[in-house]
Order: sequence, then C-alpha cells, then structure tokens
Amino acid sequence: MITRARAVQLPSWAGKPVEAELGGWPVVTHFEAATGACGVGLTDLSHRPKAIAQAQGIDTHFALTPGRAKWDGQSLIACPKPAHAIIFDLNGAIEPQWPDSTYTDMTEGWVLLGIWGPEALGMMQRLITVDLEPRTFNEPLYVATGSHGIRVQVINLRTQSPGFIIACARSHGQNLFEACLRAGTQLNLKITGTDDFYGWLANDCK
Amino acid sequence: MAFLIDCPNCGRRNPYEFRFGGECKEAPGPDADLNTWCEYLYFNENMSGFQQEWWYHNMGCGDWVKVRRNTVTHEITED
Ligand SMILES: [Zn+2]
Repeated sequence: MITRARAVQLPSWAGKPVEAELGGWPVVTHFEAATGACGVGLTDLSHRPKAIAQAQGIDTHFALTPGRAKWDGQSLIACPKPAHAIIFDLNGAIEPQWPDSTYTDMTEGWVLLGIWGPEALGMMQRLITVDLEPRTFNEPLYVATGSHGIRVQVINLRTQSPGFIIACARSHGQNLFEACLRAGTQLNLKITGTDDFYGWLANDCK
Repeated sequence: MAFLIDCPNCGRRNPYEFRFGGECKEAPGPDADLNTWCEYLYFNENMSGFQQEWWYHNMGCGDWVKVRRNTVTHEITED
C-alpha cells in the first residue's frame, strides 16, 4: 500500500510513468513509451534508504577520508568529515535496517537523484562550481556544496560511463529537480524510471 | 568577496558557502562578571589587517573553521 508521497513531481513531457509500490513509496520504474538513448538520464531515487552515521572511527571503519566515497555493491558510502559517514543504499532492503544507534535515518529527509550517461559530467558542471573530476585521484568523490542556494551532496561514482548521485533536503527537492531539468536542456536529458538507472548501474558500476 | 577559504575537510571553497562567525576571542570563565560577558559578546577589535576569525561551513561539511584573514585586502594566510 502506498503510504508515502513521492518527493518530486514529473513534468508532463516525461511521458506516462509506470509506477510500482516499494516499501510504501510510489516508484516510477519506467515510462510507457521507451526512453531511448539519452545524453543524461535523470532518475528519482528518493525512496532508497539513506543515513548519516556518526561515531569515532567510523571513517576508518569504512576506510574513507573526507571527500572520498566508495561503492560496495549495495551502498554508496561517503565521508564528509572525520567521524562521519553518509550512506546511500541503492541495492539493499527497502526498509532501513541500520546496524546501531550511531545511524540517523535520512530516508524521508533527503531527496536522491541519479544523474548518469555520457553528458552527466557536463550537466553537473552546470549545477556545481566545485571540481567534480580532480586529477589527483581516481576513486569515487564526495562533495558537499551549494547549488542554487541549496545545500547539496554529490557523489561522482567515477564509473566508465559518467554517473553521479545528488541529494538535498526534501523540502528543496522539487527546486533541485527543476534545476537539473534546466541544466540538462541542451544535453538531451531524459527523465527515466529506476529500471534504466539500475540497468546502467549493473553495466557500469562493477 | 574575492577570496577563497581552505576548509580542512572540503578543500578550497567559495566564501559564500560559509557563514561568518566573528573574531576569535577567548570566552570568559564561568566566574566572569557581567561586564566581562558584555565585553565578550558585544565588543570587537574591528582591526585593519590580519585577524583570526571563525567561519562556519554551512553549505559543506558543517564544521567551524579558523581563518586568518586580512580585513582590508581579504588575503588569507596560514598562522
Ligand atoms: Zn567544509
């Protein structure tokens, strides 16, 4: 049974969404008409479990330093500062089962968008002024910064085909989503369901 | 503001990502009298030149950062 409201409203040009219920969330899995090739795929992943973990040594537990992130096959884990970790669970169970009380569930607090495809970096550079592709290391990168006056968190997965996730407070979700639409106007941006995002993830994020 | 602030967690960032937290001052002890607290809360050096000040990285990591900034030129230096 759907008990929760989706974080963002889709524009009519996105097509007719096909929704499934997942943990009480209405989730757009795909659109009635095939999406086709796109420069940037934009996918609402806000239903996925998210958390902040705060504990002495949690950064070393995950073998991360501030500004770095990693993909463990289930979650993207990032380190914003010492003793803090951010978890974006993309593949695990839909009901958050966090290990202990050091975790604060942020599933309903944040929206989470997947931005992926050949033009994804170009689109992110229209949203974010911080360097998202530093040459000093090749591992996934975590950045907390501002975009359109909104505090956002970004992970560059640094996959073969560019891919990012961006998160912000749910109250600003629609604004961020529309900023993404504007930034992707000339980059053949298409709004996709989760099927396309997970297809990309399975192929490019090993 | 034409300067950048080095955050120890996030790296070099635009100052508009931060909130200014004022001059670094030593807080009065628990037994301080009202005059001392008044001086601490409401009065500043307002100096021209380098001073130590607090900046809060509200768009980034959410930590307070100590910065040594020239209030005339915005030049930022190490201690
Ligand atoms: Zn910072």
